Amino acid sequence: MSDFSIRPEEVRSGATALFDASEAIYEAMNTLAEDSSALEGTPEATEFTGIAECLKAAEVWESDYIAVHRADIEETAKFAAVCAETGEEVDDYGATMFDQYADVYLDDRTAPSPERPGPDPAAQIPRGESLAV
Amino acid sequence: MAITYGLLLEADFTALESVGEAWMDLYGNLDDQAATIGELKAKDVAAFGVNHWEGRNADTAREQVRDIVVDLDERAAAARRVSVSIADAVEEFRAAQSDLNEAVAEVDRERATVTDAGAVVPDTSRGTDNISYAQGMSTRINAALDRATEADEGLKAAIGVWAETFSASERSALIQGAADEAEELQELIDSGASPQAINDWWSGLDEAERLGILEGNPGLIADVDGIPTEDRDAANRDLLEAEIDRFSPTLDADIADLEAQLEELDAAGDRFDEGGGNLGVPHETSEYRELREQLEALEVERDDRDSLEKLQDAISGQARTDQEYFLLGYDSAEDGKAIVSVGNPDTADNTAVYVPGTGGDLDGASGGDLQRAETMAWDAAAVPGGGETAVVMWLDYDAPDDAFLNAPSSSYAEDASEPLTSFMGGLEATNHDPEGTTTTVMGHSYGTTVIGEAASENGLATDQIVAVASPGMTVDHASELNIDPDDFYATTAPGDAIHAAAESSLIHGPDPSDTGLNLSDGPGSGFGGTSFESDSMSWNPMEIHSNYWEDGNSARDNMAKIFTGNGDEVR
Repeated sequence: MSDFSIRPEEVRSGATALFDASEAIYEAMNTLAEDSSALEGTPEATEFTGIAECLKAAEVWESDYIAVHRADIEETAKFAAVCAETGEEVDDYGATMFDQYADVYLDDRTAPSPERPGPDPAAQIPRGESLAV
Repeated sequence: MAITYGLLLEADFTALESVGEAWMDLYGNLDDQAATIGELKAKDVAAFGVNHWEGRNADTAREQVRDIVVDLDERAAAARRVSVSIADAVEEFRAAQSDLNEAVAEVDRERATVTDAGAVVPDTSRGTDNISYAQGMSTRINAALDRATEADEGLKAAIGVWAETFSASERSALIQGAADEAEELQELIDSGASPQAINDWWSGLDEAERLGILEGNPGLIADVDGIPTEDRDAANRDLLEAEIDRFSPTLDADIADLEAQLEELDAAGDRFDEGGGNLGVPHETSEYRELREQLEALEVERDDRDSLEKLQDAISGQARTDQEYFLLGYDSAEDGKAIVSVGNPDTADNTAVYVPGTGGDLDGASGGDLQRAETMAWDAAAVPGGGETAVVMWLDYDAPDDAFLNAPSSSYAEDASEPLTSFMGGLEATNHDPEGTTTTVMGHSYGTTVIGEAASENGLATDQIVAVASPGMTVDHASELNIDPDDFYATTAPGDAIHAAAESSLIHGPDPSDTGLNLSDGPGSGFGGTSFESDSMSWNPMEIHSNYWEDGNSARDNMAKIFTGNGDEVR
């Protein structure tokens, strides 16, 4: 195990880059959601099952998959920020430890914080696994 | 659900087309962010690099960054596939709509009428002649509706799979729906069907059937030559992820725990048993030995996991040529094997297949050998008018481990001959324009011996062959490689250690870079083909042997010209 050392300004810039990435992903997802909403209620989306699935996909990605990615990114960003600000090894990191530094990192931000979706009891079978056929 | 007449006639796919484009934009954004985030730990001097942050927290952060990048890369690829599926569906919907409009426009109103529901009703007031006419027109209308319905079902399956919107029951139904086809494919493979036959069969499936096989049994298509690159890549990525997921999530902690226990025993003086029966030589206590053996087993597991993660990392994101990586096969057993393409060989203007030589293994396939492939793709992209060149790093053979102990044996090349032949046949079968694409198979060192063996014994589906630093190609002349000798190129840099092997003519045949222009050997001597320049870039013969991809080596420009169909310009 390597000894602890940190250059706060570098790690701080990494944390900021992570928050920026999360925001950029939010905006791109938002654009897709808006474009997809143009399909809503159209005869095409009602009668073509594939087009209906496209609409569903945008909703699922916005509320679930992309939200999870953003939450992962921002958790890492917060963790790095806390390490940079405290300047020492953090033993029991909790998300609330970041709250006191939030203004420094999130002041100009327009994207809302990601909300990690709750576990879905009807969760899909993980990709890559085989079903007996 | 069947698409109805009135619906298809009136449908407008403009909004759907825009949605497809938005998915492609999302793909680009996710890909960019993955690259940006990956940079945070890519180098020691990066923001989260070891020069700036060390310790447990730093290790944790770097591990989290790695996981984020892999996840984002996978999500980006899914978004790209969704976009392509939508674009394909829009094209097919519009074609079906056009078929329908043409059929309706052609209906002779004096012989039949088309109802609002799309039925063609014959005019029977003057006899029954118009009945068969109406049936014919009805068939055309129904064919257009069937075409739209099939495209719709394919789109639903594609979105369900790539965007992961299917519920477990929908996914299961998709897989069950392709069960017969999966069985048929297995029979085809077992019968030794050619890559072309496999590709013909695969192309005959509808999208839902193809996706059903991919979802239900990715292992069935992952290493089958003749399966298109996109599908094969998806199958291999699924398998790779599943294999990595099978390692215990506590593996590193378990190793650390065992190391601590062993240290503790050692410190307490409980490592060695000083008891009798060992002629005074201390031996390990049974407790210590058991723990050490457990540790060794877990360390092997960790190495295997790390190799697979390294491969996963290597194929994340885009190459510096902005091309995608495609994983066309891998095997983690023993030294490991992998086939990775920089760019899609099915759609590129040129394809080069690089066969590495001695020492090739899974780590190299994710490291130096893949970097060489990327370098060659980069160089080829710089050739004016050269088009896109996909470069495949083909390590689907057990390469010799040692240049002196193993490489003199031709058995490795003999074993690799059939897989390489099949792979090249597969590329030809899946290529969108095999006649218009320039295909080159290029080997380095023992890789040239593999190519020589395969080309001379079976013939390879390639336009050109390039031998770099060859110890011999198992034949005496380029004409024995089953291509026109004018399409054979070779180079060996001055001072390369391989000269000793090649010039002796004792190992794998004469030096292919001796093209017969050396007048002292007399006319007609030599291997034939064209030799091109390469630079030593070192005084060390062993380093020279690996320097062909170094910046500034003239070999790189020459290879790029050959790959892009400009072999007449090599120096």
